[in-house]
Amino acid sequence: MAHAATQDHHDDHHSAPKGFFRRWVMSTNHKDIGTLYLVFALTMFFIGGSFAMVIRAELFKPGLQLVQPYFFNQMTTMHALVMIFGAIMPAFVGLGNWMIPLMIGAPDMALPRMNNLSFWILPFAFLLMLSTLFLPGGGPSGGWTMYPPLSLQSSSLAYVVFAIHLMGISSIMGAINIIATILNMRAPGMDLLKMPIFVWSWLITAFLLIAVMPVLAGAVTMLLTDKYFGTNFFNAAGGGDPVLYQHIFWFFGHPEVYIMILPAFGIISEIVPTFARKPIFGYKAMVLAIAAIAFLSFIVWAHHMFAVGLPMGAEIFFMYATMLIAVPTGIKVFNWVATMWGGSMTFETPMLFAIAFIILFTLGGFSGLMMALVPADFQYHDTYFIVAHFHYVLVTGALFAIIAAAYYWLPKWTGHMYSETWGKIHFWNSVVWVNVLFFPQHFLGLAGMPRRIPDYNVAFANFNMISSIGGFLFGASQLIFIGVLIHCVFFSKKKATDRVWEGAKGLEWTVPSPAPHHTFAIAPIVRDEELAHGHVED
Amino acid sequence: MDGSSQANISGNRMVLDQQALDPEQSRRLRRARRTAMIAGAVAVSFFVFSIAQLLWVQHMGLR
Repeated sequence: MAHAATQDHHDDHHSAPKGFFRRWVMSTNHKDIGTLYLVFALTMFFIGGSFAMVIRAELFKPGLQLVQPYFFNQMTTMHALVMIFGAIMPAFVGLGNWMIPLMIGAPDMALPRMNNLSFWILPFAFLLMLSTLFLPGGGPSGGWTMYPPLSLQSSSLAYVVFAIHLMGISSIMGAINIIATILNMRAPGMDLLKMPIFVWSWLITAFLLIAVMPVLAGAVTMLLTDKYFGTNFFNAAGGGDPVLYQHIFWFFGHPEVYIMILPAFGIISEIVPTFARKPIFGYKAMVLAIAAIAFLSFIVWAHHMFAVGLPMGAEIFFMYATMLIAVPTGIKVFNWVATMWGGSMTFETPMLFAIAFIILFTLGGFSGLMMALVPADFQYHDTYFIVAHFHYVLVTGALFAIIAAAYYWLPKWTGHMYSETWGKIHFWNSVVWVNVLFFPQHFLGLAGMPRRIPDYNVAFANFNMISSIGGFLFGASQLIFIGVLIHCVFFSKKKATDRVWEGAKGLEWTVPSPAPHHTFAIAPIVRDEELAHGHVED
Repeated sequence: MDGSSQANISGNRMVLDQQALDPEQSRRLRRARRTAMIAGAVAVSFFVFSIAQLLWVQHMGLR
């Protein structure tokens, strides 16, 4: 298989366009576009992170210190929008772009020009959105959920709605490309149930994106017409209902949470077998669990709205449907642990982040289960407990998986090994300070501290100070990551082998490191023993 | 099949010409475009439906 995969690589090494404009702006190459997505996501991660620093600095002690409440609200809103749509989602699309064609033996994405367009829409969308911070009246400040009537008071609503439309179009085109690629471009022998779990997780995520991003687009379009064109979709005075917005938003919003975590599941399912040197435990169960989680994500949206005054029957339905998600998620956590059980494990940086993911994501899942209980949720609703919960899911979950993936595949992308010592320093700093940052927020929430406030009762002072110190140091720790990346890309002398990791299996490890500009122009022959999950018995 | 049938090499730059791939690959690309169109149609219908259902809810006074 290695020969089939690499026989034309002598040409490929010299095939990347020379000029910067042709190489990066006009690129139709899945690897270059993947790199663009990842660089963009990293940039947005630091912009969104800087907003978080403002939030934690303001909350360092009670009273108003640094910013006015209105600007604080803009920071919480923009932090969420930038991190969700600018950092986490584009990072996963970048990883998908880079790795899916390599993993399924395809020469490129099925629709390379649309791939270029999908990416290049994004910088304009975010320029538009971030520019609102400099407009009279400032940026959006009603929270990332943009609930009416609050969001309708914002003078920047039209800018934000247009930016969200652009991001939505980008995401939908990206999802269409991934579906078309996976369903049609697989190498002969790469049956659906032989695909790496990362590819499966992206296929299912892409279907979620197709189904829910248009719903968000519809919701914000109706906000726009309510504000500027005299409609009354969500205006109670005109016969509308603001709660309808919440229903339609969360019909998008809850699957969106899974859009940000299913590819992370896929990444962890690639890394754990590699460093445990064992095939993944229960491959088919893992795939079915992802599909089950995706299905359930469509029937749980109202658990975000328990406190709005839903009928009792609806609350009971959404409570039980939400608790049901613990079953497929539990299967996944069990299977990752079972994969490690008895394995010949080593603890390189990607594996450390993967193990931290499994433990800390599970913690975030448990606090989610607590909130699924209707009576308990009335206590937790709109408190810092919620903030702690979703940051455990999205930071120690989605972000840790993205960082793990970067360390895991960086040698394949660059042809050089990163510094393992500095990778581990990055890991230990991240894992310690992220817990100092978010764990005390559970206590703050249980004690009743509301979210989205710039000032608070002195009773909450100590835990807020601890949380802010954790926040500053977690932010600083990510500068180590930048250092490791720059060193690996430009200065590392240690060449990566083709396989990179001793236990790595799958088509992507059969191409040279760095991966040539064009790969698999001739479809490879797929052998079962090369698959990451080993031979699948039917 | 050799590499030259799949790639348009000019100078030191090689552009992967997917139209010039082998017939099986071309068939896959045609199928992929069809898949993309279906997925795109689903996305557009979800967008239209999300607005239409609220118009219907309001029109019927169901809220």
